[in-house]
Order: sequence, then structure tokens, then C-alpha cells
Amino acid sequence: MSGRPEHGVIALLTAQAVAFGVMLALVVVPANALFLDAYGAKWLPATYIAIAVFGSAASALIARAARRTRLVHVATVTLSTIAVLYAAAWLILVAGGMWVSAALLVLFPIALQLGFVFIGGQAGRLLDVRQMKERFPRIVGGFSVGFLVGGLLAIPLLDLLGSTEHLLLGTTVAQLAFLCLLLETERRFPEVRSAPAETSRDAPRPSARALFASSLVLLLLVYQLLSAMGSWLVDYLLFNRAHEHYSGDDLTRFLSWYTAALNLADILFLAVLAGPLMRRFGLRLGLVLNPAVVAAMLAAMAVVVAGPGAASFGLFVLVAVARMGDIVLTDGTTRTSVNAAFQVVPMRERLAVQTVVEGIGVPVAIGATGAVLLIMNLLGLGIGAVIALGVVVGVIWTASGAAMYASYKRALAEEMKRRSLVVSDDVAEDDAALQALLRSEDARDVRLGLDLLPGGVSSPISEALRQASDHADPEVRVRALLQLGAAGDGEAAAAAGRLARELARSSGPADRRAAAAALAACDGFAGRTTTMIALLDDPDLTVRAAALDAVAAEDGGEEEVVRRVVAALEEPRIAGSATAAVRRLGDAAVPMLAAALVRDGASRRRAMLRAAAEAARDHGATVIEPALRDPDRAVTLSALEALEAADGGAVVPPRLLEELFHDAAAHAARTLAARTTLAASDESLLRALEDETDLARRLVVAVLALRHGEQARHAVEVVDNAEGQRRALGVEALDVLISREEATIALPLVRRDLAPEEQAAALESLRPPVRSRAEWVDDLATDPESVWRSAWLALCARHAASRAVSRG
Amino acid sequence: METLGVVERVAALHRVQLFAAIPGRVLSAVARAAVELRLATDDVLMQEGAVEAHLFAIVEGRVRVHRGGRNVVELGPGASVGELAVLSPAPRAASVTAAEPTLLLRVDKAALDELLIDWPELAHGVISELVSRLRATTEYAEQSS
Repeated sequence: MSGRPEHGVIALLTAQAVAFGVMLALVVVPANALFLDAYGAKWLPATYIAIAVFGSAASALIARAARRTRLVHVATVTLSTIAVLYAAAWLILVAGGMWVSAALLVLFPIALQLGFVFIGGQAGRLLDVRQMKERFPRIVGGFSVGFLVGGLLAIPLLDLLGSTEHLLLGTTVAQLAFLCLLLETERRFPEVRSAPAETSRDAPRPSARALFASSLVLLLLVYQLLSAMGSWLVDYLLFNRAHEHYSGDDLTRFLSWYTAALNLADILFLAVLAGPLMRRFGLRLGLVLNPAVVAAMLAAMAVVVAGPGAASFGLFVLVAVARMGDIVLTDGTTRTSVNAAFQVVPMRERLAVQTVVEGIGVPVAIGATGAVLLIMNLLGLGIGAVIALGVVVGVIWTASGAAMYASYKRALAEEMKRRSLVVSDDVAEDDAALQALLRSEDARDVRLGLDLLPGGVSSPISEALRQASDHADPEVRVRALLQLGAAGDGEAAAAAGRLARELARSSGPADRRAAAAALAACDGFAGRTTTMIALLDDPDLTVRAAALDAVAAEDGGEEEVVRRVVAALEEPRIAGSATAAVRRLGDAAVPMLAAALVRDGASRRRAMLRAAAEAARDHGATVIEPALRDPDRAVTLSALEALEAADGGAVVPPRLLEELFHDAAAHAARTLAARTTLAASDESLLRALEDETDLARRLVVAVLALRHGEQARHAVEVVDNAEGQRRALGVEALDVLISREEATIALPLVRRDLAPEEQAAALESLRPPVRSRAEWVDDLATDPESVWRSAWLALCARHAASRAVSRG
Repeated sequence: METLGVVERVAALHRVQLFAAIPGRVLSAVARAAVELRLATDDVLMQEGAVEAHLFAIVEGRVRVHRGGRNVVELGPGASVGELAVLSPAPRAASVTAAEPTLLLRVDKAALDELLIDWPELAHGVISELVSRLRATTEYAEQSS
């Protein structure tokens, strides 16, 4: 569904991963062989603790460098340094310093983590989030291929070079190849240097508290710590059980075959299953599948230990399968999901967080696992206790994956809402300015002064109001008197009432407007209702609007007033005032509003729908249901949008929303199918169908907005208007905010970059039976099944049919 | 003389950039309010400097846009003149004369104003088009400076 990345990006990143894999295989084989020969297996857990110490220090250095300079610079220096270390280790080993094999074992996981940070960091700059989900598994596949090739290369290299330590020459060459490919990537795609203006030298360094204030970042840390612990526990179990069942050459043969099978399974999974799985289920599966499988396998192991016993071959098989599953899913789903989740973290913090989480968190987890294993061994707790610990870790890891997905959804939704804020300063009104306005000869100034009057009236303002009450303009006079009355001047209030009645009878619209303004603030004078009705019937629209503005809740008891207010909703020029009046009338307006909405054509008025939506929010969906079920989909759309604006979506029965969603989806599929069949000469009909597809699209979006709130609307806006990474993030946000069924229909419709043929293909399940051009035109013109429900479409179809006849 | 049907009128108005994004079912209201105008060769459609508030969409034929006796451009079917004048009248920048028998649709400001109030989608479409032009102008100005 996403666009293709720039040519060569995937190839170069995959090549880097291959070189990276070859390098790691050529370090892990000699390091393990030399260490076990020299010191035995019992000290292996001690290397885990060293990994924690040195891994954390190395990652802190990398994170510090990443904040100060570009990713590519950090990667270049790091990879060069590691190459020098390999060459130095070879020299020391040749000189007889076996202790360096321990250092190589410690360096292995650190190099593994850092390599993925660098490859993932480049991918994050060169691919958008959708491309990451689809293509990153292929890049990681390159690593598995490289690891397999490196392992297979080790035997002929050993024969060629004559001694295990000489394999490190191959390691150094592979490391340099990795470095060269990274530099070539930078040369061909300079955007990989992008970093971000925000990570420039001057950018403030984010504190640890700021970095981990986000729940998503915190969960990313927890998740990866648990992932490392779970994986290393399973790893330990494998070596423990393998040693139980094999020894000497048999053990070596088993490990060789197992490593080959594991890598093959990894490659096959990445090539065949990982991409489709991630496309189909996304992060909701990608984050929990690995821990859930590991937890389930460990639980099964616990059952076997309790039954046949720890020495059984069944347990050994389960351990071997669990480790294979863990490695395969880590490469195929977990790493991809974690990298995609990082895309939501702001660019400025991404690399720093990524380096801290993967570079410090993981080594610490490995060290902690080593320490726990050492203690358990010293206490003689046995393999059953390790498995029990693994089950606990697996369950918490699974829960953290589910929590991380929920946090990712929230973070995506927030990202969609992010927009520039316009900060408005409060307007400061001071008495001096107000007095000047109120004392002005110009009626416009005085009206402005009256509009700006605060709640309380000071003594100088009262004086200015008295002066305004003698103004030549009747509206100014009556409003000034009303303000004085509101401030407690009874005489002024009575004078306002008298003046209002007098003005209501005037022949001048300005006088009658003034009378209406008086009604708004003066509800106690005799003949108010009669005056109100007269003003609501006024031939002048501006007077009617002013009278509507004067309607108050207590006018709800007057049926004649309510009827006129509801009727005013159908006059666009005063509909805004009428809507506000309906809102003030509350319950009293609902029956008449519902009756008006049923009348043919009335529901086409947006204002009436807005008023009905607000009434529906307070009194239930019945009042607006006629509009929601209107055969004209444009009316339905207006009703849905009015409900969204009124925050009244909750009152619509879910089944009705479901019907509307499916009707819109089917309508979209129909219009797309017809469009792809009609001839180019059917220009007007094609355009009408295009408009109908857009109408269906808007209906789908409106239903989603009611079901999932403004987050879905924001995501659609981003998909509509943004480009590149941000647009892909919008598609991703929609994908996680809405259900799978909704996404299948909504995503192809929302994406305007897709051609009608592509949209039609994506809506295959809804595609109507194949028809010829003539059959489509006839169906559109006559609409025998009442599916099109558009007079304009029918007119265009008849026009197309008549043109075809005249051409024929 | 045969008159245009609503569908043909909408098709002609859809070619006017101001109305290009407006759904046909909405634009049909403008089409119904539009007036057909048939000009013979050399008939004058508008005079330079005249303040008028009409938009003309050319359905058939050609018109010549000229200023001070000098031809500026010739326009044919699908083109329009006076797009902005129908929203905000201003003195015509050039004269327009029929270069051959020409059929046009005329949309008057008064009619369009009424329809803009009655049809929010029409107003939305017109505003969107104007905003697009403003953005394009701003980008052009920024690139030029």
C-alpha cells in the first residue's frame, strides 16, 4: 500500500546487513571456540556481566556522540574502531594472549546492538513508517543470510588459514566492508545525513527524565529489556540442554546443524511470512507474537519438567524450538515493530532514545540475566527454576508488548493532532477607551463600545451610558438603557421597555432591529410575546435575525414563537441565529424540529441538521434519524457531520452506523466499478461518478469520526494534506486507530494518490457483478434497485445514453 | 435555436477553474441560473474599463481578447473570462470580441451570491480554489524573491 522507496536504498541497506552478519558470524565462532578451550563453560555467565558494564559505557559514548554529530559520522567512527579492535585482537591472539577471547565475547553483543542501531537509524531516515513495516524485514533478512554465509565460510577459511585465531582477519575484512557500504549509502542518499536540524550542535540535550517522560519511550525500554532477558534465558537453556545430551564432537556437530537450521528458518520466515504478517496485522501482532510464543513454549517446558523430567529429550526439543522461534520472530516481527514504533518518537530524540534503549538497556538486561543465572547455579536451583523464571519474564514481556501497542496508538493519535498553535492575546479593554467609544457621535463606535462592555459597570462608564441613551441612533439608545437597567437602574429598564415597543412599530428596519435588541435583554415588559412574533415575521431579514437572537429559554412555552424559530432554520441567511435560538429553547423545540426534518427537502438545510444534531445529543437520536436514513446520501453526510460537530456521535445506534458504513463502502465499490468500465466520452457521467466516490469516501470518514473520535478525522486530514513521512504516519495512524475490517475499506478510499483501478482492486470483496458500459448506463439511469439514489447521476446517465444513441 | 441541457451546462462550468472541484449535483444549481448567450462574429462581449459582474464560460466558438487595439490572446471552448469579477467586480482589464459565432454561458454575480448562501458546498469549492491560487501566488513570489 505504501509508495516504493528510492531505487537502491533497500539494496544498500540489505548489503550492509549481509556484511554485518558475516562479520558477526566470523567473530562469534572463534571467540566461543577459543574461550571454551581456554576457560570452559562455567565462566560464560561472567561474560554476561562484563557485557552489561562495557556495553553501557560504549552506548553512553555513542549516544553522547549522536547528540553532537550526524548519525553517519557516529557510525563511521564506531565501525572503524571496531575493525581496529578485531585486528588488534588477532595480533594479541597470535602472540598467545587468550584472554582477548573473553573481550571478543563481550564485544559480540555490543557490536550486534550497535550495528542494528546504525542500520535502523539509516532506514528511519530513508524509509517512511509504512515502508519500514514492509521492507525492514527484508533488510534484516540480509543479516541472517550474512550470518549463515559467515558460519559456512568459517570452515574453509579455517582450512585455508590454518588456525582459529586467523579467522579474525576475515572478521576485520567483513567489518570494513560494512563500513564501506555505509559510506556508499551516505554518498548516494545524502538525506541519510538529515539530521535533523534538531540534533545540531546547538540543540539542547534531552535529559533522561525528558526522554523517558513519554510512556511509549518508557515501554520501549521495558519491552526491550524483557526481550533481551527472555532471549538470553532461552539461549542459556539451549546450551545447558545441549551439553546435557551431547559432548565433544557430537556437540559441535549438533551446534553446527542447529545453527544452519536456525538461519535457514530465519531466512524463510523473513522471505515468506514476515512481510505479509506485518502488513496484515501490523504492530498489534508484531509486538506480542514473539513474547507470547516464548512464554507459551516455556510454559510447555515447565509441564515437561514436572512430568517426564528435566533430562527428557522432549524438553531438549522444546528448548531448541523455542530458541529458533525466538530468533526468527525477533528478526521477523519484533525488530521491525520496535523500529516502526520509534518513528513516532520525535526526530530530535529518536536516535538518543534508540541508542540508550538498545545500547544500554539491552546490555544491562543481559548482565542481570547472567548475574541471576550465576546465583541460581550457586544455589543449586536447577533447570526447573530457570524455566519458571523464564515463564514469568515471558508473561510480563507479553503484557508490556500489549501495553506498548496501546501507547503507540495513543502517540500516533497525538502526532496526528500536532499542529501549529496560534496564540491569541486577550484584548485588553480599559475604561478610558470604552468611555471614548461610548461618548462618540458615531453610532458604530458606540455599538462597538456596547459590545465590549464588561460585566460590571463603573461609575464613569455609567455616565457615558447615560450620554449614549440620548444618542440619535435608536439601537444605541435602547441598548444603552438596557445596560443601565442591567446595572440596577430600574427607571432605565422601564424606559428601555417603552422604547422597544415604540420602535417595534416603526417603519424603519433600524428601529425594529433596535426593538429586537431590546427584547434580548428585557424579558419583563408587557406584550413581549406579541412584539417578538411580529419581529420574527418581519419582512426584513436583519430584523428577523435580531429577533431570533432575542429568543430566550422562557419563550419555549409560546408555540408560535417556537414554530417561527424552527421555520427560520430553512432560511440560510438567518439560519445561524435560528440554530442558536433552537439551542436556547431546548426541549421545547424538539418535537417541531423532528417534524420539520421529516418534511421533504427540509433536511437539506445544514442549519436544521446542526440544530437537530444538538437536540439529538441531549434528547436521543430519534430527532435526527430521518436525516440519517434519508435516501439522499448528501443529506446523510450532512447529518453525520453535524452530529460530529455537536459531539453527539454516542447517541447513534451502532447498528445504524454499521449500515451507513457498509452502504457507503458498497456505493464506493459500485462507483469505482462503473468508472473503470465507462468510456472516456461519457465525460459528464464519469465526473458525476467521481463525485459520488468522493461522497462515499466522506461518508466512510464521517462514520469513522463518530466511532473513533476526532483522532480518526485528524489522521484522514494528515493523509489528505501531508506528504512523505508524515503522510505515511497518517496512514499508519488510521491503520491502528480503526478496526481491521474498517481499514480494509477506508484506507484505499482515503488515499487519494491511488488510481480508481487500484481503489477498485482494493475493494475487491465489495465489487459488484461485471457489467458492460451499456448495462451500467442503463442501471444508473433507471436505478431499479434504488442503490444509486441520485437524481443528478440519473440525469447524467440518461444524457450519456442519448448521446450514444445519437452517435449510433 | 437549440438550447443547452443542464448536463451540458454543468460540463461547461466544470471547465471553469473556479468551479472545477464542485460536485455536479451542486453545480447544477449554478447551471440552471446561468444565461445562454450567442454572439455573432465581431460582437463585443465586454469593453475594457467597464465595471461588470459576470463570468462567461465559452461553450462553442472563439473569442478574441484585445487591449488598445492589440490582440492579447484567443480563447476557445473550455476557457472562461471574468472569473474573479463575478465574485468582486472590477474594471475589465481588456475587451473581448467574438472571433466567430460563439456560444457562452453567463453567470451573474447576483445569482451566484444567492447560490453561495444556499449551497455551502459551492461556497466551500470556490473558497478552496481561491486559497489554492493564493498559495500558488505566494509560492511563486517567494521563489522569485
